[in-house]
Amino acid sequence: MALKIGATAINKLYLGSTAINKAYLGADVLFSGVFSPASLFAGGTDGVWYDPSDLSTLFQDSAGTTPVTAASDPIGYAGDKSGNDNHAIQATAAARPTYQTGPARATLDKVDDRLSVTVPAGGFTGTMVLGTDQGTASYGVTIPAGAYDIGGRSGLYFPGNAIVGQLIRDGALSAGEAAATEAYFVANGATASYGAVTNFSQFWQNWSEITSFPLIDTSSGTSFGYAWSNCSSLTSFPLIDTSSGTNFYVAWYACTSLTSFPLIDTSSGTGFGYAWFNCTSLTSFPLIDTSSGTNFAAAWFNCNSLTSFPLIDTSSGTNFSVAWYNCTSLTSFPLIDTSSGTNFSVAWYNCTSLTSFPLIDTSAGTGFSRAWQNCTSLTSFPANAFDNISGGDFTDAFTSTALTETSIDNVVVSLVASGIAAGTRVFDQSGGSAPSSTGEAAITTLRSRGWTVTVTGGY
Amino acid sequence: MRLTIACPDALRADGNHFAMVLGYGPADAETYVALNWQDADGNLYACASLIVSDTFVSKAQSTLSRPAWDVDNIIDMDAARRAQAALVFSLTPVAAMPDKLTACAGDDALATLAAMGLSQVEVDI
Repeated sequence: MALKIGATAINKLYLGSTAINKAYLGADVLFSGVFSPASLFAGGTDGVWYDPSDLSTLFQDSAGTTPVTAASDPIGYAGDKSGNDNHAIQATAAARPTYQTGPARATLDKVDDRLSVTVPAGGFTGTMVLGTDQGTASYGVTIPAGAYDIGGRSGLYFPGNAIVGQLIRDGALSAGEAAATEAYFVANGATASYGAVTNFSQFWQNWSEITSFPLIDTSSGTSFGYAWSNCSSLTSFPLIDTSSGTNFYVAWYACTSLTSFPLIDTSSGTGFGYAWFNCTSLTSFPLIDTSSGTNFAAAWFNCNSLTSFPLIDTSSGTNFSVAWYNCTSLTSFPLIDTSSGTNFSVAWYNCTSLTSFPLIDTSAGTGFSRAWQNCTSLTSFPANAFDNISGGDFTDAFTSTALTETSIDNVVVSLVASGIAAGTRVFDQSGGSAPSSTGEAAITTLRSRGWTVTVTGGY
Repeated sequence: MRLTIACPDALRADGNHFAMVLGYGPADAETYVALNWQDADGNLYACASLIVSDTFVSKAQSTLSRPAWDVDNIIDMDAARRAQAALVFSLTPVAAMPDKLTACAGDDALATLAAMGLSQVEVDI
């Protein structure tokens, strides 16, 4: 029963200037000014609402026969309070979350614990509000019909260690509705902000249902390893505070729908390995501060929609292996500082739109195997590029390229200038032009120093 | 007591029959599923963690009998006994072994797995 004027429900009721919380007609509540998430499902709106603070909804077994009564009881059944009967269950005993009190919550071992709800035909496209022991936030979601994990994704990945409240509505919540739901969960004991969390590793890994991510407080976060890995439905990402972050390893791995990326503060970041691996929809990349970064291995692997790359500070970078592998739309590459780089193996493999390459600092480099292999449009390569290198592994470095005669001459003459006469000494080129007599003379010198050299034309 | 159990790939089938004997029904055949964990040598494990009673521990180490619910003989009791024979139970973390079903007590499942020498298998990169 609801209090209405005509068809309009009354949201607030006053006696003079005093707000009324509840009005009764006999025993029936005519009006309640206290927000309940149940109100979000009025009129048969589909979704789920799990509330571990309501013991009447929790059972130890998946059949819903043995009630949860005390801390440490397993939760095999969580009743849906949305009114849609989308109850969540776990039939496997070892994978059941555990009920705990103070606050009432479903704790997750992050090894295998989760409940499963069968999302009805048509799925849910709307908002998920998740209140946990470590933070509370609202997400845009698209969840297909079928089994869906409540708790750790695959039992493993969850932004916290316990569920205090979780609501998913088919149909987006307004900002006010989401805020009210978050406040409701916080009142039940959920931690409001993620601001105290330092380790966000794997929090949202494989949460492919998330279509939008909230601007949460991540200012204390130092580790973001794998945090959004495989969030394949995210099309954008907010400008969160990552100023304390040092570890961004695999952070946005395979976020294949991201079309842009914000200028987050990565000034403390040292590890960027695989960070934007396979972000295939990124068309541009911001000039983030990577001045502390040492590991860029596979960082932009297969970002095949990037048409340009910014002049980021990579002066501390040592490992660039596979960094820009298959960035097939890059038409140019900036003169980044690679003076500390030792490993350039496979770095620009299959960057098929590059026609020229800048005179980067390769003085610390020892490994260049397959670095420019299959850069099939690469015609121009500068002189003196390898004058000061520290090692001579150029296995397949220029295989399947389009180097001009001058460019291949530049490369082999520079290798001679390096003076490398020990360790691995291999150089391969195919495609493009054969070297001139100048290049051939350089190759003769290299061979006299123990190099194995293969070039176009067979010299 | 929270018990965290590492089941090597070779013992997964046997381990799930053992889990059904100790558990409540056929769904417990899904106890050891994904090989998400590995030791330093690269051996893969499926892991589970749950709060158990002393009765559970005692039952796991006693002569096994077919549970009443298994009227259809779903459980391969020989397989369950093989898993039981491979069971290593410890109140403190011990290293997981590729030929043992290693069960260790510890309040924090992830910390226990780490102390057992196991780390999560990384994504396919």
